[in-house]
Amino acid sequence: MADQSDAHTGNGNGAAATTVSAWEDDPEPAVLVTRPVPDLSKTPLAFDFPAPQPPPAMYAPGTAEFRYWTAAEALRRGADFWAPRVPSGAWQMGDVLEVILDEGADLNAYYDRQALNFFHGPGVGGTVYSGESPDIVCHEMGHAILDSIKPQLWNAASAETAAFHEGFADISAILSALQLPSLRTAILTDTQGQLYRSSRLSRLAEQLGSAIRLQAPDAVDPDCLRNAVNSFTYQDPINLPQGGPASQISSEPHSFSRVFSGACFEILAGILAAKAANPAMPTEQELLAASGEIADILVAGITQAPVVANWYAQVAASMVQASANVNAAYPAILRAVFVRRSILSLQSAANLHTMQASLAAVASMTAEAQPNQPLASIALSSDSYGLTRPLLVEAASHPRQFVASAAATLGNGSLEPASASTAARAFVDDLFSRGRVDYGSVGPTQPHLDHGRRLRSHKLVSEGGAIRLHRCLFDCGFAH
Amino acid sequence: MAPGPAETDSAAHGDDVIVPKDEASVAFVRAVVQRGEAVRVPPGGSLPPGATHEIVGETTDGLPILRRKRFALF
Repeated sequence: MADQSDAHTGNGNGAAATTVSAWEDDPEPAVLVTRPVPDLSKTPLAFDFPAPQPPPAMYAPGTAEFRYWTAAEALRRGADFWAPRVPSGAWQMGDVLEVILDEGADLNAYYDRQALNFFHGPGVGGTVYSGESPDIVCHEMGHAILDSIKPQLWNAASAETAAFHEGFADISAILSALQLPSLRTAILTDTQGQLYRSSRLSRLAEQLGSAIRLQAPDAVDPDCLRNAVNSFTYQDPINLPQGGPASQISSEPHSFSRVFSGACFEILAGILAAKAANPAMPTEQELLAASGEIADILVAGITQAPVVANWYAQVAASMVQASANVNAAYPAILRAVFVRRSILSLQSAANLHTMQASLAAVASMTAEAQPNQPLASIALSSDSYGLTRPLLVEAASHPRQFVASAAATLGNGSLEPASASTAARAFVDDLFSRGRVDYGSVGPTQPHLDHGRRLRSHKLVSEGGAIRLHRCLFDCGFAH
Repeated sequence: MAPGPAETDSAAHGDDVIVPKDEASVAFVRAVVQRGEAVRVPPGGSLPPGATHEIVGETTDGLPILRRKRFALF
């Protein structure tokens, strides 16, 4: 424990204190930090804490006053970090988010669209309070941030969207912690500049994890609640067990979240190494900048991605695209991580750039002709049809601008997403298989499949950097 | 064959409910219920520790219709 101060109020001469004492990240590592008194009523993203507010001061750990100001400092710091990135500038329910610091007995914490709710329970060395851990309060606040950015995820009936909420919340805790200069310096020292190592930054909620292990030894990691440095890779959650020990991945949202939080932590480390003047020993200022960039990329990806069953792949694909606007070197870093984690298939990752470029070219031409008509095109990889450019087709659904797929569990292929894209792919596969497409002048010099002279219902037309599939006619269906 | 929702339940509970209607949502609802994270809440009652969803109805095939009430840390 460092920098411990005696409890006192004010500065002894009647003036209000300007600093408070708080934990850096969690009561178990127990590193104290002195911070400016947080303004909880500050907008955007204000908080409503329980009254009465204890006078700001350097209280000792173990007191209710210390817990109050630790939670307040962490939430203000985290909200200030995310506020510029929240499009609405408000919580999902309004300008002020209520915080209930101790709602009763439970080794847990909740976000319920009304408040952040914290509890207490038996721990290794006595009572633990979930609201005393900056990791935990910034995790719960992360749910509220994501709920403001993408409220459609709240009720989505999907294991991936529920797990993503948990993963985003864990990343919120990590990025909020990185807004502390002292913690950035400590982590870079502890990891010797190699951020993607298990550290108290990657390990979340160590104290509550210890308390839970007393009751359920295999329910959490051996040294924390969850660790963002992990080796879990994507599998279709529909095929996973619905629960299991922490050492295994399951479809339970907190378990499955580790695939995405692990990927984000890896990307953060990759970005840091890429932007550091000395990649072997990045500076804390470079780490601060990297934390802002990964947050920008994450929010852009979330904002742009349609809410679909294979949400992980869609967000990943959107993040790869968004990262190009931050730094031209970043898409390759993101693609590599997402492919290693099987969140994106090798094919999807490889095709992202050409597909997006094609869509951008077509969108630009279409925008001039029909400024108010949004594109409802999706780009399909077309090599199986003997083509060298992406194939644009109209999707009769909520539009996906490109088909991003996770890797299949077995083999090297892709897990095709369900719904509109599956339907589109199946439809186009069927057209080509039955020889119903006129390649015209855009096809291969050697026929990919020679169907002879058959009635063609569709033709291929060059459009921008891609090829568009056009219907020529409807027939009666008797075309063999 | 995916089960269909009971129209009365859907109509009664609005759009903010989770109706198991395809493979992904059926798997999701089954897992939530099997983990004990979905419960029926009596009028004026509250969710017990660990629960995140309220059971607000059921489909014609007997699967529960859920409404998310909160996210939990663990």
